Amino acid sequence: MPPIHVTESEARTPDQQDLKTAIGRLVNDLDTLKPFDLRRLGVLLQQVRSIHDRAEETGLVGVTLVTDGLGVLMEKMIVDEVPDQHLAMRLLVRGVSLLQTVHTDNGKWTEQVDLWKASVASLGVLFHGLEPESEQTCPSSPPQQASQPLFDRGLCRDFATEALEHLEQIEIHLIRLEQNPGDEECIDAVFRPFHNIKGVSGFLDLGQINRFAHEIESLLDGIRENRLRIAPELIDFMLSAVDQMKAMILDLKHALETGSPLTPWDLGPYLEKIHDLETRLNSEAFPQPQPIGEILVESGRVTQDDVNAALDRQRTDSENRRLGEILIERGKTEPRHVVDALRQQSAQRPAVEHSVVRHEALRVDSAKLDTVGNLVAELADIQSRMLPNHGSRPVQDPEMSRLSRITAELQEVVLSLRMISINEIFHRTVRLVRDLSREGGKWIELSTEGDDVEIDRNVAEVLYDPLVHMIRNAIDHGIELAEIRKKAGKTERGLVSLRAHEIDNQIVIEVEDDGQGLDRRQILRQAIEKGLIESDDVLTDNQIDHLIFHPGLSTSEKVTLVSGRGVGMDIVKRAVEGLGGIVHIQSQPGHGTVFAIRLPRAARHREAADSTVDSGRSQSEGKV
Amino acid sequence: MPGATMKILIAEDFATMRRIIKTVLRQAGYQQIIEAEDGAIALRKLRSDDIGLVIADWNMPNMTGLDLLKAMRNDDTLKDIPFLMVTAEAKKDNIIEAIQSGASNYLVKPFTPDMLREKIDQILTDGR
Repeated sequence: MPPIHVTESEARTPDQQDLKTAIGRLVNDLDTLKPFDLRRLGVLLQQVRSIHDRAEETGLVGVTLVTDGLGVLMEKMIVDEVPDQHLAMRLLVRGVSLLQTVHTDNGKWTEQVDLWKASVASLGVLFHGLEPESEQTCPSSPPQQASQPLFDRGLCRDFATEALEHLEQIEIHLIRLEQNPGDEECIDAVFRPFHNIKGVSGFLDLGQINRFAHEIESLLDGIRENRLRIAPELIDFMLSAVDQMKAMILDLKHALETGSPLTPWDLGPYLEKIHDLETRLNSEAFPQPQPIGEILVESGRVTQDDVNAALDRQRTDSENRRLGEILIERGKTEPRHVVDALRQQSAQRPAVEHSVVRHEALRVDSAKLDTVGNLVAELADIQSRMLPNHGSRPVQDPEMSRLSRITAELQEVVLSLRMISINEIFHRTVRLVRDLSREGGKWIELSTEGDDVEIDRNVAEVLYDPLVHMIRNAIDHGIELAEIRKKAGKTERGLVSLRAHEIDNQIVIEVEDDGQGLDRRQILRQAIEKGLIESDDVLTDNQIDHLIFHPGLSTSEKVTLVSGRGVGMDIVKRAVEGLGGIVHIQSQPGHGTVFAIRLPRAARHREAADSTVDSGRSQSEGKV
Repeated sequence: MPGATMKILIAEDFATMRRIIKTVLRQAGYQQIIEAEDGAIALRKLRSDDIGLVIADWNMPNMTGLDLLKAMRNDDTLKDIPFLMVTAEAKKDNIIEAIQSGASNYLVKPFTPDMLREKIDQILTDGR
């Protein structure tokens, strides 16, 4: 490869002494530039910009003007905004020679410069290909054929699977974003799946998906560029948009499997809502989470009338002063109260500790994994039959011991392939917590901790429902409304923690809330009503607590949609016992409740082991 | 043609997109293709393998395409490897930024095999 004539570092730190040398080098380098060599063009653009900056400092107006024009021209060449690259090259050469002339004339410019600049400005003004809104990138044609000659159905199917996986990750990031509006990593993590779905669907000619992803992406762009404010309303909309996108992808999957046509979706309401949000959540219009005036009134520092009067003043204020300043000026409050209120305002969105989950994984059909598991189990079975106690081989046979070692390792690896971090299951509940807390008018934070605890994918599935029941219980019956918590001297925001760790060969999974604890009187009353205990039975607190695992016992005052029907907690118990574990409650009135599930370590693989036993194949063939 | 034996590295976080680019590259006659899920992995592979061309997405976790490009251009052993930036948005500022940071060329999604082939030819014959 021939060497590059100018390196970027040279361009970035040009010789401060000699503008002439810099221009001379530009002339030289231009000499060898070929059309479409964008990298060289990029380097030249940097040289031009640095000449421009230095000319500006030293007041060489002519040089500034020409380098301005050169910058515009080169940008046009780079984004292919010129009708003909060769024509643009000639214009570039002409511009650089003008630059030389103007520089030797001490920065005086001539009519020629104006003429040249005019031709640069008029170059390619009709170009339209770079508008992101252009129809080419968003085919809005009727429901399309799912496959194109170039890309097969398999690719479409894989796209659907991958897209769904990425959408799954969005929810948790959306909720984190609501708690942490400035978290750029979160914004990126929400943005990226839509961005990728848009990109791929463009190739696969999936018009509806492409268009929808594009619209969502531009909404998110507004957040990334700080044009839009992150409000609960926006998060709500995004969650529903994620659901809609999932439905569209599932529909694609279905169409691919059955050959049925794609559903024509009515995306109108979504597009209208996006437009609506873009106008209303404009960050210019709403810079504050809670108006400072409101905080001051709530804290009793000023009256609502003071605030209203100050607001009126602010609307006509030529200096664009803040409300606090006006209130201070009018003697309605003191600076320190405004400072307090401002602090309170920024503290309303406390930062939440978190780590961003990332999984780089190979996708394998779980049925294939099961098959591998079965084959390995079969192998192990045959191998064990060949051991000395089956009378076929002597114990010292080195090949035999190698075989058994490899088989054992293989079994271990296959089991580990099925393992997932328990956090994956925890994270699936994030959306549930948010929906339930909004539904119940409560303010709840969810914390999860269990990255290093791994369990079999199937076991995780079995645990999911019990986990959901316990979380629902914690939110519906445990965590109090914000006002009640405040009166009790607690933080207004309730906390639900999901934790997993391994102790003494056991996996412990805990669901803890800092709510009011179990209502033992209520439990007792109901247990007596249902005839579970006699009214004169003497029970310890702990025994009373564990009554909630009885089928048919509900402690809820009212039957809510999601819990309190007396089903739920007994399901938890049964599922956990099905895995060979136990569930235990510890509740402290006024302080909260902890549900602890203890599973034997072996339960991590339980499902996998069951499926190999059930396969039947290993048994029938193993005896041959 | 130069493509038959040259190794091309695709840096892109979305697996389906990697497959699409791979399909298009194969159609265009390039057979030796290496993949990376993000910029950081790409950089590792660049340092351990003899890569003739990098095709990278702008938007990737851990290390974006732009950061990968900058890292390559600041590394004496990697600075001459041609770099094709793939973006989904045809935003002028982004494109100028990429080219000024040393990209050999850029490509806006979605593209056809012809468009990709044309860009690669431009990069490999005219410029680097």
